[in-house]
Parts: sequence; structure tokens; C-alpha cells
Amino acid sequence: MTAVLVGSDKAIGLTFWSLVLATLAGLELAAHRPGRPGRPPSFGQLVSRYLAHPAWRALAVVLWLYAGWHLFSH
Amino acid sequence: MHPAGASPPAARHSLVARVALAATATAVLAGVGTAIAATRTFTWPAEVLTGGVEIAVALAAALGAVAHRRRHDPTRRTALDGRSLVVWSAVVALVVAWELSALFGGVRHLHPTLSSLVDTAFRVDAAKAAGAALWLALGSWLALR
Repeated sequence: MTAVLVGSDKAIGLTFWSLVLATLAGLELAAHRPGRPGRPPSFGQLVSRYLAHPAWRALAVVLWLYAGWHLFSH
Repeated sequence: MHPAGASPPAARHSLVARVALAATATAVLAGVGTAIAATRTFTWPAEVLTGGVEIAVALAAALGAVAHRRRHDPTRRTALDGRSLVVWSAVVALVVAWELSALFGGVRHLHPTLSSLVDTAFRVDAAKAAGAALWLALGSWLALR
């Protein structure tokens, strides 16, 4: 992890990641709206569904290991 | 006999145990977070500390996986509508495409990755300590759930 951001580069990234966060928050809100039969699953439902499977669980742990190494060691 | 309104000893002990567990977990998270924040990337203390935490959590996850396998019941999985997953999948695909284009396309200066932004935030020690504590909490949750 070496890049240090300045000026407009940072603005581009912040805009993209803000949009991603806003979309995720919108999905979560839509999942919790009552009385909508076709609503998307919430993040909690996705986690319950997929982390119950050993392969997805192992993938999540591998991603966690990589994140720690990448963020705090390199 | 216990006086009216008083908790039975077993309930009190259970509450004390929970409070002690929460306090211990908070102290460990804060301690590890602070220690990681005190190290600098690309140094051996950072490698040893992060690696030690990762080995401990990976071992706990492996032991948890063995226990999970014993009690795993595929019929209890939550049923989800496949079509409703499209939007979640699209967001994940967009993020992966962004990260890969920055990694392999050489345009990281134009399209900063999530870790580049986090790196900027982690220049503040308190933010790095909070990030490390959050990371450890997530790993512990994954290992123990």
C-alpha cells in the first residue's frame, strides 16, 4: 500500500466510493422496507446464506487475511 | 430463597461473565489496534504483529470450521430469490472491476483504489488503531460464528 493521494485524484476516488456506499446503503434500506414482495435481500441475509457454506466462509477468511497483510504490513 | 426482586446467583454470575468477556474483548481489540497503529508498514514489527494476529485468527477459524462441519445442516440455509441478488452482484462486480483496472491498468493515480484512500486515512494513528481493531473484530467474528 504505497500510493498517497492528493487533489483531484482523491476526489475521483472519493466520488466513486461514495456512490458505492450510497448504493449499498440504498439496497440495505430497500431490503428493510415492509410490504414489498420483490425486495432485495439484506446484507445480513446474504451473510447468513453464504457464510453457512464452508467454501464461502474460507474465501471470506482468505480475503480477511489478505486485507490485514495489505493494509497493515505492506 | 432469594428476596423478592433479587436476581438468582446463576443469572448474576452469567451477567458478570458476559461483562467480563466484553471488557476483555474490548481491551484486546484496543490493545492490538494501538500496537498495530504504532508500527510502520514494510517493517519487521508490522510483519510479526500482523502475521501473529492472522495466524491466531486463522487457527481459530480452522477449529471453528471443524466444529461447524459437525453441526452443519444444509437444509437450514436461508432461501433467497436469485433475481434479487443481481443488484448486489452488480455492485460487487463494479468494485472488483475498479480495483483490477487500477491494479493492472496502471491508472491508479486516476482511479484510486480503496486501499489508497484507506492509506490516506491511516496517516492518523487513531484512525489506523480503529481500523486495526475493526479488522480484528471482523476476523474474530468470522472465526467464531
